[in-house]
Amino acid sequence: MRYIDPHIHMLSRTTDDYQNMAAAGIVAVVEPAFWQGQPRTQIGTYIDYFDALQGWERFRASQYGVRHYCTIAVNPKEANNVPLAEEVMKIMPRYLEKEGVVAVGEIGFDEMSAAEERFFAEQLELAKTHELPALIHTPHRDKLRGTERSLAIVREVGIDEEMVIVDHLTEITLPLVLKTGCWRGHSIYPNTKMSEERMVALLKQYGLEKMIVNSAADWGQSDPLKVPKTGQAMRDAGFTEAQVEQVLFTNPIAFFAQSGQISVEEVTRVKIDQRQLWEDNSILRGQEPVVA
Amino acid sequence: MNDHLQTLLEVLSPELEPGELQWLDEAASRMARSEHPEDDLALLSARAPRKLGRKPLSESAASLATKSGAVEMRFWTTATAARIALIVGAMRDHPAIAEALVEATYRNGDEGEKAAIVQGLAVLDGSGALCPIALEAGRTNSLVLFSALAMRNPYAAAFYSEHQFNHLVLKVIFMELAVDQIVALERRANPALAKMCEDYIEERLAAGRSFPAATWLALGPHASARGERLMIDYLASEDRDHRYYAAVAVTRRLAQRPYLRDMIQARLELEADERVRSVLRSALSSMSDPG
Repeated sequence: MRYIDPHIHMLSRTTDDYQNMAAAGIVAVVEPAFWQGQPRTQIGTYIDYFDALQGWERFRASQYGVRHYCTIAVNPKEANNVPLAEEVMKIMPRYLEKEGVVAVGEIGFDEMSAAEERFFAEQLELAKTHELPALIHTPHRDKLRGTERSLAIVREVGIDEEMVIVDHLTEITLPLVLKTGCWRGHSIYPNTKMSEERMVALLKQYGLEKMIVNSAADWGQSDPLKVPKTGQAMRDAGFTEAQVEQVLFTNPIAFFAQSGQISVEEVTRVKIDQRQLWEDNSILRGQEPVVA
Repeated sequence: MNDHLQTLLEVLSPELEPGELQWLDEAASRMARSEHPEDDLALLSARAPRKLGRKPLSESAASLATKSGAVEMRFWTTATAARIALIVGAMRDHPAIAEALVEATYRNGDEGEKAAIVQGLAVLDGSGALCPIALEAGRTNSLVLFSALAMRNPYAAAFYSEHQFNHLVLKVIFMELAVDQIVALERRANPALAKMCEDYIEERLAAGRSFPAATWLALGPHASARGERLMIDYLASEDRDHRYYAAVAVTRRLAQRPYLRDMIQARLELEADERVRSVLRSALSSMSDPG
């Protein structure tokens, strides 16, 4: 069984996680650009972060046979630092064309300020210009209103809804997105967002079309194995292997393949060669290199 | 212009050992003659806890009467009070760059320094000019920094827009902090806030999760019909804290909604918890009081 985790912040995770994910059948991840837990203060840290998403982190993932893709954006929280966000918008175009960049994201609302709305709309425009999909983060607070407003902005900007995924959906917000052509993302995460059992209930109630599942694992208490665990919950509830593969492998690839940067053919297990170095750095600390 | 400096020092001085007081005096002198106030303030602000400790001020510490309302220094530490005193002094000595000094000290500050500035915002600013600092602090996930803004601090209620205030309250609820410690919540509550709380409760219930009992304090003042039904249901909750806060919220609406009287009376007859009974009883007795 092959899985994809289409929303996971691997820069904050250890190689133990990569090992466990690979063993559980995860063959590829999509890592969205987000905040660091505290505000960035200058453009240099964004440049270094975007470079790391495309450089070091892809390499780290490849050493465990995991294909790594990323999305690039000014995240909702940091959109509130307007001068800095404007600087990031200027460097984004060159990053959006880079190998492995499968979407503009995460964009959207955090507290629904005017600044957040401005950069949300501007980045949807960028997605249109660069013919890339867009990954929308729905807020954790005032979620219903945030989702309504997000869908309204998608309509106002006029981006093709097929190119948009609305993420972190729940029982209350999914029905709104079902009325549109947007894809439906769900994050299986402890204490907030969704659980495996509730996800299975939603799949039973609403079907599998455009349904996408991720772990959104990050620097907080989270579980990078939630996608395979959701697969098991689906099987336990009577879904077939084909249905599990549709939701947890085919759907996310189909959505992000619209970028031209990922496809089912391309997502095969990379030859693991831990003898490789990345700019003279190795992840090995005295172990024997694995070549497989 | 009252910059509270004298009161700050009057409250702080008795709480310091002689050696600590001496450090503070020397720091103040250094600031008074400083030609690079931003650099000196950064250094002294950072150093304060190493020299003065982070001792809580005594229960009897005075409160400062600011334009935003009372600031209760008994919830501050020695380091916080010293930092605010040094900043206030620097603002007084360099009025042309006063705001810039606060912003720089915040930006360069560690978490403790940031929290101290946020706790003292109502002392440092009487016009709302420093709101961007508060808003940035509000975006944090750090409980220390967020609590400094949201708990026992009159600044947000004084200067935030309705939207900003509502989001602050919602985050307090989301982070399961003490909603009853939000200053001026009842005064600033509004229908949009009530709706946000009602939506949040529905979301939590749909996910099979709980929500903080004190949420009723934010929802109650402008509850919709849906919100009022929820509150009334929770008068009979198995959770004693929910019954308490629902009772507080419901009884506060009694003057505008006298029809709630019968419901409160009925609940009183079933309620076993004395704390909850007391809330219900005093609401009923104040209503029937002809005076």
